[in-house]
Amino acid sequence: MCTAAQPAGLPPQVQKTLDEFVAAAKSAFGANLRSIVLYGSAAEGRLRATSDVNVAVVLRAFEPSQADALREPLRVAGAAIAMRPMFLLEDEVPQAVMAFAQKFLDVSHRRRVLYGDDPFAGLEIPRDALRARLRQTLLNLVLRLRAGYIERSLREEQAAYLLADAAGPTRAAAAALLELEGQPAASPKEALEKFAASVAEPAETLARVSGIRETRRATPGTAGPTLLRWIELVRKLHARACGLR
Amino acid sequence: MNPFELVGLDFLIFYAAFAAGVIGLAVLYRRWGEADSPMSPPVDDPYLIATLRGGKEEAVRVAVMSLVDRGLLKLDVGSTLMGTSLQTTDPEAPGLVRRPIEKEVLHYFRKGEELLKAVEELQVGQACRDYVGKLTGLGLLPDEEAQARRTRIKVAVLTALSVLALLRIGQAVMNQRPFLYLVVLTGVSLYAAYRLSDPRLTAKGQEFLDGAKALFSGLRERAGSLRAGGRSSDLAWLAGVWGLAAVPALVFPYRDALAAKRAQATSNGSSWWDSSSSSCGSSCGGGCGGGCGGCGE
Repeated sequence: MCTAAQPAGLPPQVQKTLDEFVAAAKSAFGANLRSIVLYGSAAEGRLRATSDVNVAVVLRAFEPSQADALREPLRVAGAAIAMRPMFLLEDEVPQAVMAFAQKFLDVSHRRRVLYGDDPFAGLEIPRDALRARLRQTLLNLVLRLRAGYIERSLREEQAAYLLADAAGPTRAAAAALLELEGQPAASPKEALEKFAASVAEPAETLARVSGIRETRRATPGTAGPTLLRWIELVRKLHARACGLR
Repeated sequence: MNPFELVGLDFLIFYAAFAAGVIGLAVLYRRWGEADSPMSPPVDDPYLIATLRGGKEEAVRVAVMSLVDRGLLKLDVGSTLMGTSLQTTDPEAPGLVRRPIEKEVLHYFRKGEELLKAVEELQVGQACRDYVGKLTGLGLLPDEEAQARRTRIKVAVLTALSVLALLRIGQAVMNQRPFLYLVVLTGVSLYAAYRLSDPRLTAKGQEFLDGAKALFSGLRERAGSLRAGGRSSDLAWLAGVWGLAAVPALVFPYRDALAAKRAQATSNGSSWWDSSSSSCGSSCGGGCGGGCGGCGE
């Protein structure tokens, strides 16, 4: 799944901004820059208007004076294409994989090297770490959504924001779950669809949340009930994650 | 073909084609002359782009918006546009910001000032003049040489269009034929020639602005999901590249108060919340909040 250089299917302004960011990072960090890796939906060329562009910058050493030179280009890239970077030292990679196993599962499946060598080649996600992280993430999501429902669902637009923000993590969790169950899906979105079908969740719920994620708006009267259904869906994901051996 | 042998609609069609050709050539010639400029700057300053897009006043408004969003300026919205004022929230605030225009704005509002007066005064400040100087030096705004060239082109085009029209009108007078349509067509052609031969930006400047708009087209698409609070530069870039109107009121509720112009404020004395989107006007006084229903006739 990992491919070097030019990701296919990226909009021109995203490609241009990434090229400029890579040039700025090379200029700023010099020999301390080992790799820049694009991961997530952008690496597959499946970006949508609301998608974040996820990038891992792997450094040999972090020099503040070098990092300072990247501050402005980073903010420009953040504004232009919603680029969300992760700055890792190369010797932190194994610990990061353990601590953020679910994120690195995505990296292991969907990434493209924009600069340098591939620091995640042969990446093995320890099953125990992934299972523990998945349970933690899902429980955290349930608690956060429950509190969010009580705090914010009297204001429908706020409930819609909550759902829009929850959609991505839920999909990623579903992908990790199916991976652990030995039936990986082609994409996080497909993983959630498969999981929802397996627990008889109506496809309408997923479609509604996809729409909210795109537009950040919900049809009046639907955000609260959809949020409740989503909490139940995440609880089912958590229950299944807890049953994993 | 002798155009002076043409009559009626035939001559009007000839004149329109002639005007279009002359104006088109003038535009191409101007653009050709302005294409040979120094390299474009990097896209790293939203206020520079705001100055290019909308002038110095726009840069001041975008800077004020960004500083209010960051919590460094406090905006007090009055009951009318004239009553809107701003004050820095922290006397040390100018030391917290980096760009000269932000420092100037924060210094200016240390004791609290009325917005419209401030916009007028700040746009003649050093920071704005530096932006214009930089844009001119980069060939994105016309310099004196480019302006002189434009004037020569404009005079040549206006002369050509006027001479042809006057000769024809003279012929029409002698032959006692009507020429009202030709006068109208000439007026339209002269106006188009005047506007098209002297736009505010150079060809290079327009190209740079179009490039910035393309680069930040995604930001405009996700404007509805932006969060207030100044954590990112998104709001400044959105307003800088696309204008204050592109910023959702939900993200920055004072958008309309900030975008209001002096003429708007003095001519209708309208409440700020209806300043950009409603024609409710002054007679409504403070009663527009509910949607102009009470304005009546």
